[in-house]
Amino acid sequence: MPDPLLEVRDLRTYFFTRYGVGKAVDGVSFVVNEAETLGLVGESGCGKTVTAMSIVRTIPRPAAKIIGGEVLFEGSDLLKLSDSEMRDVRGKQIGVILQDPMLSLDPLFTIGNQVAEPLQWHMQMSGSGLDRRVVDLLREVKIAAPEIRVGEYPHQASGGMRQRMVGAMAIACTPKLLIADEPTTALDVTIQAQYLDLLTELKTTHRLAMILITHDLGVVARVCDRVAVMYGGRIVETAPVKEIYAAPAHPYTQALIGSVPKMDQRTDELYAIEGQPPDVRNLPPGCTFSPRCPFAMDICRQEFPPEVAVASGHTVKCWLHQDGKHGS
Amino acid sequence: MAVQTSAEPLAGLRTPRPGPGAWFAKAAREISHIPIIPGTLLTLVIIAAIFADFLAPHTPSAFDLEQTFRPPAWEADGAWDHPLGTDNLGRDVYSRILHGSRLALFVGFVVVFIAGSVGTTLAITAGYMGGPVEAIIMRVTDAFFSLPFLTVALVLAAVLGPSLPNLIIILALGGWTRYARVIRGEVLRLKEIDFVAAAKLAGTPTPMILFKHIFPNVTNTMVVLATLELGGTIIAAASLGFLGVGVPQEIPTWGGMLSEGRPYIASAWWIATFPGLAITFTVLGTNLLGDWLRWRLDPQFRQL
Amino acid sequence: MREYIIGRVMQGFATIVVVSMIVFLLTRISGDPTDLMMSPQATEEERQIFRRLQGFDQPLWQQYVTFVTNAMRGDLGKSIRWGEPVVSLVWQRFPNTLQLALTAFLIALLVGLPVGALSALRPNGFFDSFGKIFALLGQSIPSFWLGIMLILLLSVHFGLLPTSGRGGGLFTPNGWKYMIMPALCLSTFSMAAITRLTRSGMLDVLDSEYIKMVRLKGASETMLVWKHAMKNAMIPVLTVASLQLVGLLNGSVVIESVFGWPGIGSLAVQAIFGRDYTVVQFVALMTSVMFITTNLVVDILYAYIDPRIRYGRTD
Repeated sequence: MPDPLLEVRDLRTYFFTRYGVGKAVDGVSFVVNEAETLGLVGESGCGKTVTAMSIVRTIPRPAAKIIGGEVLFEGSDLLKLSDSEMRDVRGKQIGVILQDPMLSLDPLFTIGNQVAEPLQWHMQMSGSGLDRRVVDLLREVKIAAPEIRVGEYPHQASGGMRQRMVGAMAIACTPKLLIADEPTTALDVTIQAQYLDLLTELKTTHRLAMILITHDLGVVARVCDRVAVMYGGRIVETAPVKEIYAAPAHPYTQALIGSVPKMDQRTDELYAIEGQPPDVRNLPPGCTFSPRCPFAMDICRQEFPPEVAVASGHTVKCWLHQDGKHGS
Repeated sequence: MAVQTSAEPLAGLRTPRPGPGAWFAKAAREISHIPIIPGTLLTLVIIAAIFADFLAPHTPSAFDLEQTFRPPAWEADGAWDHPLGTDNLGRDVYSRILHGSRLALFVGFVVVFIAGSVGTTLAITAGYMGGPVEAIIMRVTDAFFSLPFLTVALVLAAVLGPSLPNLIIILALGGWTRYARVIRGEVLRLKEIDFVAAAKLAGTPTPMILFKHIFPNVTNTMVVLATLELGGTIIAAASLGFLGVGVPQEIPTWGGMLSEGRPYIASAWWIATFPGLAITFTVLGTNLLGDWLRWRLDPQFRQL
Repeated sequence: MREYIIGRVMQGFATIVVVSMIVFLLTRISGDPTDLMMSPQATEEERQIFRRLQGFDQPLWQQYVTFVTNAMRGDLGKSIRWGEPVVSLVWQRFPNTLQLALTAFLIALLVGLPVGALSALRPNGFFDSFGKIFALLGQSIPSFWLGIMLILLLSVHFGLLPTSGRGGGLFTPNGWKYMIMPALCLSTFSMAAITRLTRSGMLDVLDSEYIKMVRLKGASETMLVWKHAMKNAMIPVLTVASLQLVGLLNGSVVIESVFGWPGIGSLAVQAIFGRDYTVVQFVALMTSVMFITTNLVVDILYAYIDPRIRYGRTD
């Protein structure tokens, strides 16, 4: 088995505010292999975005700080790189797509200008070679009439098109890893599917590894190979995508999947998980999910469960599975 | 894998723990938000204005030709019966400054009140009604805004004659446009928000919408703007006083004192210096207060 | 975009009309301006002659029409004191004020922009504290008092600079000595305003998603700041800065008095005290028109810089 492309080990990113320390990412570990799409799933505020920003080291200092862990990308620890070395990684080896395409593009510069930037900075391209590459990139993300679009401004394009342009910017230097933070959340429902198909296609063509951050399980089912479920700043379950739908082990995952109404079921009430997401400044002792867990036992409230494997490639952190069997 | 609990203390991190120490920290934080500096400055000025008669050692207009050009108390020739010296007519500078604060504050508040009321009313009308009403009001606002204030003020002062009400009118005429513009912007923004549309759909009559929904939401902006404009008004009044117009000569004004003291700047520097300091401190106070209010009421008011 | 420009021009034109009416009415508020303009010693007969000569016996609307038609022909009256046409009188002194205002504007920009930008880039740092105090003082100290204090310090005490006058202007070897203090005093308020605006504009921009995106693409901090942040932050600053320039023309009235600078500000003051209202009328009118025009030009420039206005929106 070849080495994973990205290995995050025990990452901790804390926010230091006047009201206390917010443990946004508290011991997160996962692995992304080459050409594999990992879905990072969880409610708002569980730490998914902070994890991604920690990987590329764009967390807002001095309020936040990565205080521990390792981020091994192709073997070297990104957290140990100097600022200029890190800048080399960003945009060139790791590309990022953010949530809202209207806000991610500078309104004062043309599309062409903005897509060209990573090519200029990282590949020192210029002149007509640069122009051609920009047009090719736009064509690759399925933007019609790219030669005209390069001279246009972001506000002249529709939401779906803008997000494709952001995609073009992200893959411009043929990175090995793409991080997409809720890429379809701000798009119309009708366009979401198209965009996800585009991402899948890019992944296949370029052998792109991807971390897809989302709270939408439908997106996960469509695009991801593996899934990591996050809660309260920690990963609580990791599994291949089919496994997680077939046999979710952690009560939180079960609840997430159960809360999505299924087409062929008839229910009288929509199921919603009781309670509120935890305040990361004031995490409960023991398992962070215990206050809301229908199966919580005494030990759950005292100690955080260790990671155990319940099947091949499927791990979970839950006291219910302490013996390594499926339980419920 | 190690078992982790969140309550474990972490090396090198300071987590605030409940206890007396935390209470003090919180109290200190809260106090730092009280506007101490502007509060002090303005309280001093207000006290001076209200109690000038008691605090002033001399009548401001009492001139004594034997005591002209006495320097401030700490200088060689000075004495504490004239702590800040006397002017070219032997009048006590300190007393005149105390009395001057009355005029400065009075004019400031009244002008701000009038200009603010007029400006806000026009702004709300223009912003809410739109159409030709808005167009006319905004063109008039633009016209007043583009007029060179001091020049026009000087003409009006000459035409209307020097008196306190006239000064107030002139300053108010110069000041209302700022309110009109800023608050109209606010009203336009508020109009778009759903609760106004909801009120309309519920059939609420327009005056009620204006009174109940729009007005309360612009008061924050109004208050911040008014506080900031107070300083500007005081300086404008002083400018007019400096140029020799506004109020009759007998009333001591800070601006007037500056112009009286200017010819003697080389020999009797104190006559012009102290009134200017008074103006600076007062305006500093109002500006700081305005900043604090803006921070307190809505940190998003960056356009002000 | 074309509609935008036409709309703005029409607005500007309408505003100028309103301004002309206000300026026209200024001297006529308390009735017949004859008494205003003539010295108290003038006889009734002299007043009658004057009145008829100036057309003050005609109905108000007729006077206004004459005023406007004359103005369009370039005739804005003659100075009552000096007999010269008002326009040439003012025009002679205008370059002096313009020099002063431009210098003050330059100072305000050269200090305000970098201090404001640095303030935002290093929040709570030295520049930030310095910038905040600086801006606060600039808006609190009356500029004419500052002028007097500077004269006290630099002219009287240290004898470094002349106390008043113009001394040949900027293009003479000594000219700048006369220019420094008045220009500096004139600039303080604008400097403070520009510092504040640049700072808040930059802070807003630095917080935006697209700046995050630029950082994620691997930009160096310099590239990020200079290419993207500055350009976006400049938009609001530009509008205000240009208005400041014309505001400086207005503020020069007091400064010119303090420093004896022979510009239109001091001309206006002299004229008012000399009851020469035609001069003042023209100064007021001219300054307003300049303000409105500058405003218009800036708005149109704005449209060119911000492509959202230039090309309109599709959503």
